[in-house]
Amino acid sequence: MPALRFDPTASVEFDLDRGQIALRDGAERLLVPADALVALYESAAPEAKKDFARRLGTETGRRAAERLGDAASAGVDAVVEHVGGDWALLGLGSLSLERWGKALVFVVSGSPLGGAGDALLGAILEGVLQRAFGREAGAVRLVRDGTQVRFLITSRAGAHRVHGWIESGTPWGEALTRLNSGVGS
Amino acid sequence: MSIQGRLAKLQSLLARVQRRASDPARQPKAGVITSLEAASAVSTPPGASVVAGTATLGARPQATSQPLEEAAAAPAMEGSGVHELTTGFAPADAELESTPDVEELSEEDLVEMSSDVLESVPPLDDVQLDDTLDTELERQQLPQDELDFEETFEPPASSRRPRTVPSLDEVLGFSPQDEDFDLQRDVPAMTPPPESGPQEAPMPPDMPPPLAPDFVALLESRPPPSAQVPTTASYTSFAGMPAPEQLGQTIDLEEPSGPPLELGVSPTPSPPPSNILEELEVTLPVGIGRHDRDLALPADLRDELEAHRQLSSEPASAPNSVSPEAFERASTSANAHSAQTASAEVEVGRPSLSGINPVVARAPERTRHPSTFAELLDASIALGV
Repeated sequence: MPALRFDPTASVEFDLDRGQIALRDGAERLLVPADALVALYESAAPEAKKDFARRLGTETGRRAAERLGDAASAGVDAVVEHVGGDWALLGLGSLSLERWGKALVFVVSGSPLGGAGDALLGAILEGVLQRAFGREAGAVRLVRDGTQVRFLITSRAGAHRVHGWIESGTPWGEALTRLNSGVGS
Repeated sequence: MSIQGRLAKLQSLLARVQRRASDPARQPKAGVITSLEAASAVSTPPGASVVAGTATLGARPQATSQPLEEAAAAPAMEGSGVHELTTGFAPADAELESTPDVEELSEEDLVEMSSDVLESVPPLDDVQLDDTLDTELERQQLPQDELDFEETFEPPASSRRPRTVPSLDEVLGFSPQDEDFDLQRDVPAMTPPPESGPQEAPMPPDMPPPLAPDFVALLESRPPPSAQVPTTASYTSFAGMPAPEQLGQTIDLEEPSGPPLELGVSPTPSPPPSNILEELEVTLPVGIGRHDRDLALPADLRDELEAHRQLSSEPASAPNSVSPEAFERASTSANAHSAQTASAEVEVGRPSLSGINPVVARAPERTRHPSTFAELLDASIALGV
């Protein structure tokens, strides 16, 4: 029976004598400035960016799937609870979920990476969904409003099409309406 | 043929030429062409002989021809060659009279001459020919002014070329007496002048020849003189009065036989008095615009009237919230009191809506929520496929 609530107790261990930081499962972490990480990410090659983001997402998805048990039958609230908990342990902000018709939209608030790290956040979400649920999905940034950014989760082709609409100036609400009505498919 | 025989033949030819030359009817009007004998007699020295040929006379006014008698008297010499002499001069009238027509010469006049005879003839050059002609001219003492060459060589009228308008420099550069002034203004003819003059155009082969006009028919179709329109002269001659052609036949009227008549103004009859009223106010009949209270109410409207009265008699506490039960109750009471209020004041009411339920309830469609996250994820992924 999977836990309905995410319990973050003793999730992070700081060993000040050894000067190490580790999560509960023993994986070591580093406390690095967020802007330095973003600068390093932006200067990296596309393949390196993809591997870095997927690696973060895969680890998060793995931990969430372990907590959820049968991830395929997990409810929406449970998934948001556990995935959002691990997302917060990484320090990437608050994760929530929205439904626009049949479209699934993840909302990330308070990410320290800012607008420059939106691509990284989207790639981490793709890695989570691929590792926890075994789905190849694409995350498209719909809009960023201050510290809040929305990502549409759909197929790779649909993500490419919606990205084109957004780049051409179509409002993100209109883009979701088109996607739900099947326009352009 | 021996030399003597040829000489005799030449003498006979000369005699015949002289005889023909003495005939005034055979004298040419303008001596342009003369016989070769005359020309050769002028140019050749004594002892030379010319067999045949024609001489074209050019523009050499100081030259003249030698009398034919001297040429004929010159001794003929044998020769087999033919020497053609071409010279040019304008013959005077005197020489032309003695010049025979070259067309009169026949084949018999041709004399064959041997080459040795022609070799004995000295060569004739232009200087010698000019000297001979000048000498002959001085001998005859012909006045230069009598030699009218322009009349002789006047070109035909059709050959005159158009002349261009000279410029101011050309006019100032030439004097009025300069002969070249007009010659230099000749415009080169681009097309040959029409030497033959106007010609009749040939009739097309398929066109019928024109018919002669029928004068009799034309005279018959001409209107009579009385019907003709008077000319302007006939109008102006009478200074405003009509022309006799316009008056036509005048008829004299007879003198009046009856009593004299006088024209007077007849009295106009007075118009009949009109029945139109000056005032437009009309008095309406009594009763219009009012209704009779005692008027009987139609039987089919009594129920509606009573229902309306019942509704109007309800308290105004909740005018907008009339339940169907209250409406039904009012209708029943209205029907019960319809007979009692038949004699009351009549008003028009709306038909009853009893038995009709105007309310239609519409429940919102129930949306199906995915039970698991996996279903939601699959549905979202399927949108973009």
